[in-house]
Amino acid sequence: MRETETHGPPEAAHNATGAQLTVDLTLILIRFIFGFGANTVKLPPLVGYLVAGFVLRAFGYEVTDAIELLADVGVLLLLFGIGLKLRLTTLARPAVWAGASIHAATTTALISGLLLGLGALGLPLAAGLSGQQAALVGFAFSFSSTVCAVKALEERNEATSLRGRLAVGILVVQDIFAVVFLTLTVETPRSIWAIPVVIGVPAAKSVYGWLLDRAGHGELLLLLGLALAVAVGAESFSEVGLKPDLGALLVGLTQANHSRASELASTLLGFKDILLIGFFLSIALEGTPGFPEIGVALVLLLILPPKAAGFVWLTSRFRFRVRTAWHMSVTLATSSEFGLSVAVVSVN
Amino acid sequence: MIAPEWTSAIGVAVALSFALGAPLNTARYAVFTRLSNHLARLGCTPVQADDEPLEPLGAEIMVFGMGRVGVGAFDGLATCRGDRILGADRNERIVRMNAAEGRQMIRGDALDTEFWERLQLDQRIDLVVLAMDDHTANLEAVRRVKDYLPNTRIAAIASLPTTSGNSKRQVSTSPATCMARLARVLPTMPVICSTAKVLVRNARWEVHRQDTRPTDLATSPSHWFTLGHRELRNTFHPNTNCGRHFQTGEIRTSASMDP
Repeated sequence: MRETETHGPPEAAHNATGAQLTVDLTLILIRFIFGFGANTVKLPPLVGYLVAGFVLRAFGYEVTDAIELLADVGVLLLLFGIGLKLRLTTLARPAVWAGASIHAATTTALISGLLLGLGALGLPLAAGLSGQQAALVGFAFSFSSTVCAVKALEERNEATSLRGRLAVGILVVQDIFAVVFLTLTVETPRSIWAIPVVIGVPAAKSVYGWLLDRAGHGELLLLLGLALAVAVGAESFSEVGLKPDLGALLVGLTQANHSRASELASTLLGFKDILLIGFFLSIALEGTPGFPEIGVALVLLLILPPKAAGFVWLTSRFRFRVRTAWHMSVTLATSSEFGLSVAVVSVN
Repeated sequence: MIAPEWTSAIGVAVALSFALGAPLNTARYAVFTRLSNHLARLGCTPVQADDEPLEPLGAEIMVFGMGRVGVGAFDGLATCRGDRILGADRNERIVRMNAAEGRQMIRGDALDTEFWERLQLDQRIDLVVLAMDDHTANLEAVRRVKDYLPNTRIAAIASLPTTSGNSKRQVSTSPATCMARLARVLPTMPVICSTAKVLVRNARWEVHRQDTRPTDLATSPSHWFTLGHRELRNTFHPNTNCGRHFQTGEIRTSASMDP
C-alpha cells in the first residue's frame, strides 16, 4: 500500500487504498466471527483468530503489510508492558535464570536428539539435518511464547502473582537468549551509534517520567505509551541494528518504579490486545506448508508435554510449591514466535 | 543454515501450540485438581518464603481494599470485633502504611486465585468486606469469595447509576464514616450483606434493606443492606418502599446516621 502511494498515480493509489480498506474491514469481521465462535464453544478467542488465519490461508490469503504492522506494534506494546511490571530482582532468582538456562539447554538437546533419531528413520525434512542444524531447530523450538503466556496470566489477574512473575522472568531470560543468538549470528550492519543508544535510551528515564506525570488519564496517556514503546524504544534500537523488542522492553523497564506505571499498563492493555489479533493472524498465515512440514510440526508438538513437565520439575526443585510450579509451567507450554524468527533468520 | 521448509514447519508448530496451549490454560485449574496427588511427590521443603501458605492470623473478618471505605469499615469493625480483622490490599505501600498504624494487614489481590489458594482459609471467616475502588473488581471478587468461602457473608461497595444533580443540598458524610457506622451494627445482626455506594460522594447516607437481590451480585445472602442516600431511594428501588424495611432496632440506629 505504501509502495502504491509513493510511486503510483494518485487515482491508482486511491483505488488501492480503497480496496485495501475493504479487505481489512472484511478481516476485522472475519476475526470477530471466529473469535466469537471460539468464545461460544468455550475456547479462548485466540484459537478463533488462529483458525481464521488457517481458513484465510486455505483461500490463498497472505500476510499484508497492515497485519504485519498491527502484529509488530502489538508485540512491542506487550514487551513495553512487561518492562513496566518487571522487577529485576525476579530475574536474579535462581529458579528464573538457572531454571530458564537449564531448561533451554535440555530442551534443545532433547529436540535435536529426537530430530536426528527420526531423521535416521527417514522422517522427511529431518533426514538431511546435520547435528548443528538439528541443534538450531531445537533451540528455536525450546522457547515459550511470551504473547500466549502474558495473555493467559492477564486473563486470570495473575500477572503480578508469584507464578506470573516467575513465568514472565523465564520468558525475559529466554528473550535475552534469543537476542544474544540473533546478535551473534546475523550480520546486520550495526552502527557505531548502537552503544550511545543503549546507554542513552535508559538514561533519559527522568524525561519519560516527567512526560508520564503530565499526560493525563485519557488517550494522551495511551499515545505516550505508544510513543515510548514504538518510537523511542523500538525505532531507536532498530535504527542502529539492534532488536526493536528489546528497546521497547528497556524503555518500559525504566518506568517500572513510576507511580503511574500500572495505570499506563492497564491503559495499554485493551489496545495491545486488539493489535495482537493481527499477531495471531500472521502466525497462522506464516509460510505455505505441505504434508512433510505438517508432519514435522506434529512431531515437534510432541515435545510440548515433556517441556512443560520439565518446567514443573525444575521449578519445584528450586523449592516452590508444586501448585505454583504447575501453573507457571502450563502458561509456558507453548512454543514461541521468537523461535520462529530465529528459524527465519537461520534460513537466510 | 537450515532448509526454508523448516520455517513453515516451525510456523505451523507454533500456531498449533498456541491453539492447544490456550484451552489447556483455561483448564489448568481443573487439571491440577486431578493431578495434584501425583504431583505432590515432586514437592521440596521448605518452600521459598514468598510461596509459603499465608496464615489469616485467626481472622474472622477480612477487608479487601484498604482505601477510605476499607479503612472506615476496618476501624468500625475493630471497635466490636477487636483483633479478629484482617485487611488486605494489593498495593505494598498501602499495606505497610496500614500495618504501621497498627492494623493487621496482608498483601494480596482479591481477584488473584493464587492468593486465595495460599490463604489457609478457615471457615471461621464469617464476613468479607469488599471495598476496592474498582467496581468490576469487587464484582469479580464476589465470585472468588463464593468459590473459596461459600458460607461467608459478603459486604461490598455497590455502584449505582446516578443522575441525581442536587448534590449541593446534601449534607456531606463520607462513605467511610457510613461504612464504619454500619460496620458497628453489622456483626450484631443476624442478617448479612451490606452494599455501600460510593459513586454518590458527599451525599446524605442512610441504610436501607433491599430484599430484591441485585442481579450482578448474584450471591445468596438472606438480605442485602445498601448504603444509599435518601433522595435516590425511590429511583434506586422503584418497587420497594425502603422505609418500610427499617424494622429492627439495629438498622434504625444506623439509619439515623445523618448528622
